[in-house]
Amino acid sequence: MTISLFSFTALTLVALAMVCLSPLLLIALLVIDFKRGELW
Amino acid sequence: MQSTHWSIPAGNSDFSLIKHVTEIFKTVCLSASLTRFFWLTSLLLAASPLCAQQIKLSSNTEISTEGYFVLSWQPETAIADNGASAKHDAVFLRQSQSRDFSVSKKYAIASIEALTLSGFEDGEYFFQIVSPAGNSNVLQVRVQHHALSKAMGFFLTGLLLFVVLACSIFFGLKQSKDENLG
Amino acid sequence: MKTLDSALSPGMGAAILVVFSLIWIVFGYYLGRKNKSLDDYMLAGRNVGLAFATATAMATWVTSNTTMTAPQLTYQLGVWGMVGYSLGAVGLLLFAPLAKRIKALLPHGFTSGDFIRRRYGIAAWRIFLIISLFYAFGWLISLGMAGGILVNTLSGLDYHLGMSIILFVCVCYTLMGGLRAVIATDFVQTLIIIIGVIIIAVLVIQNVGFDTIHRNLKEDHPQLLNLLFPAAIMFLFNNLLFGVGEIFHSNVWWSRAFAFRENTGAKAYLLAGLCWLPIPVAAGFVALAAPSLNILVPSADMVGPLVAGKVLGSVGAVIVFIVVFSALASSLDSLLAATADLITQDIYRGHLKPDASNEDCLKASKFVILILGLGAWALCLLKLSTLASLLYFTGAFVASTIWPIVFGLFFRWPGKFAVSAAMVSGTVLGLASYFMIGFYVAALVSCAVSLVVTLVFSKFENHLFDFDSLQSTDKP
Repeated sequence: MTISLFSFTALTLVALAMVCLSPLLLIALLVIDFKRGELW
Repeated sequence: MQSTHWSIPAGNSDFSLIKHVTEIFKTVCLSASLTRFFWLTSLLLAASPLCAQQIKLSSNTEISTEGYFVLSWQPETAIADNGASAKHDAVFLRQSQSRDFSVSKKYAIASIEALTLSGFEDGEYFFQIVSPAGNSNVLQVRVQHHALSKAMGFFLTGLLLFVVLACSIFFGLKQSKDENLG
Repeated sequence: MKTLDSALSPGMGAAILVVFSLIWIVFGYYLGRKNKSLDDYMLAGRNVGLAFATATAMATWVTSNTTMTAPQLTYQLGVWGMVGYSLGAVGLLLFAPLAKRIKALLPHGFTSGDFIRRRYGIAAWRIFLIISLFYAFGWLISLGMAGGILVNTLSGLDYHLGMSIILFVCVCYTLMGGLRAVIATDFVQTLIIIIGVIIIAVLVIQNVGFDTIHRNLKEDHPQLLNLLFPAAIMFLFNNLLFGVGEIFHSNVWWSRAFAFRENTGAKAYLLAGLCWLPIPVAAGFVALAAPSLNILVPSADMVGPLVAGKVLGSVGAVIVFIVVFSALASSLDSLLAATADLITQDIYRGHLKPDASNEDCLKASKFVILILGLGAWALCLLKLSTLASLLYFTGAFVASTIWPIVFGLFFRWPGKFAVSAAMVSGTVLGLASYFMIGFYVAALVSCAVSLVVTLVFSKFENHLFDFDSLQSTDKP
């Protein structure tokens, strides 16, 4: 049972998209924490 | 002695990088012992220049249950030297599913000293290094995957354990919240 | 051994090492000035916010494994290899509710050992400490050696030099800045790692393309695309349980649960798990492009750097070098800090000097970081291959602690004797299965045995624990 080209592509692209979003999320959280003075 | 470690299946990978380190580590040990080996070999060769040098091809396992294995060869110099002087395709490793290599796939191995191959289906595979200095022994590797039923057994056990774990945490959390409320 | 065509020059490697070393050390010094008390030093003031909390959980879980082992496993076990590897995120996700419970149960706790001792008594505590220290020390040494070897492979710099520099830098900034320095550097290191992974993945897609990869594998390496690949199917849940075992028992994660602000822990672990989940797939799938790129792989663990070098040339080697250095540092520092806490609290205060004050512990903690660093350095210097092979087995060890921790945190019925027996028998049978079947079942077997033993023996023990007894601040 071979994974289809479509599923393989979709799996990789979705993962890559999620990876791209995570730095944005981290920086957004940092800015919010910093503004509230809640870093530490 | 260290090079015997090399023959542990190269694929045993743990979750953390532990395995990976061990692998590289073995590689380093191997290169150390290889250096020693070459030193000895060159001494021997100097003593008897006519001594013929057959390339010895070996693998880390005769039967692979995962479809991957590591091929290595000795002495490496025979190949590396030819690789440097001749064109890259003068030395190659050929792979076939028949002993006579009627249909074969070639790998130009001049610049490396081991080769990890993966993704093979069940079957017998034959390998041989072809070089102007002479061919190596024919190496046979059998790939025989674990039975699917056995694999499924472990898979289902794992799934069951995971479900028990998730449920324990879920109900535990719920119960602890109830306690706090009461 | 030279396996990379496009390796860095030793000078370039040294330059990168020096620049990043200076950055981390200055950062650590700057952050360490704020530390006053033991809580500040060991647990960053017990008030870490969501951004830092998420980044540190994520960065610590991204050891060099995600950048190196993910491609390796993908190369060996195919699509299920990378998906199974990303299931390691489940450990982080499931630890989220635990973190909340831990902070509520033990508001004054320091280590995972603290909990085991007060919940199950001395005998279970000692077994747990052996497992925990075995794992921590093994991980520490493996990271140190990985540092030296990777620096050597990528740039040709001497193994001893690379290993010494990486250990020295991590000890230095952890010593000066405590957990605060560890957490702040983790944030920067996470960003570096993710950006590196993205660049390499995008370039592979651009240069090779999915259809070429798929077609090539289907012809020559069909098992890698096979969804019924037996070894890979066995690996799937084993890997999940291994990750759960690593995270649930290790003080690296417990100390963070204590350090994070009230109501932050659960959210942080959940977010970190979600952010970590796709990384092994993005980092791992590049290995599948190796055949299409005509890359011959000497050993599976080098497939990541080889592909990066091929698609990016020497720039690729620089990126891999920086990413791996960051990944190594982000785990090494956490491990140093958390293991030092465990030794200070559970060995020094627990076994050697029960009446030690917090000031004594602060001093001891710094001393322990130094000793740990030196010890790891000395063992790495020896390059003992037998030592390195011991580390294969940690899956069997850590998976046996899952049930004692989970049941112990939430329920009153698990007994002292039952969990001790569970940890010992799980480890032993897990190791046996490792040798009889393969690495991909050790954690699974250990976990299953530990579950059965915990349930059955607790039934016989028939004792109910009083959770209120955990709230006090008493010392051992």
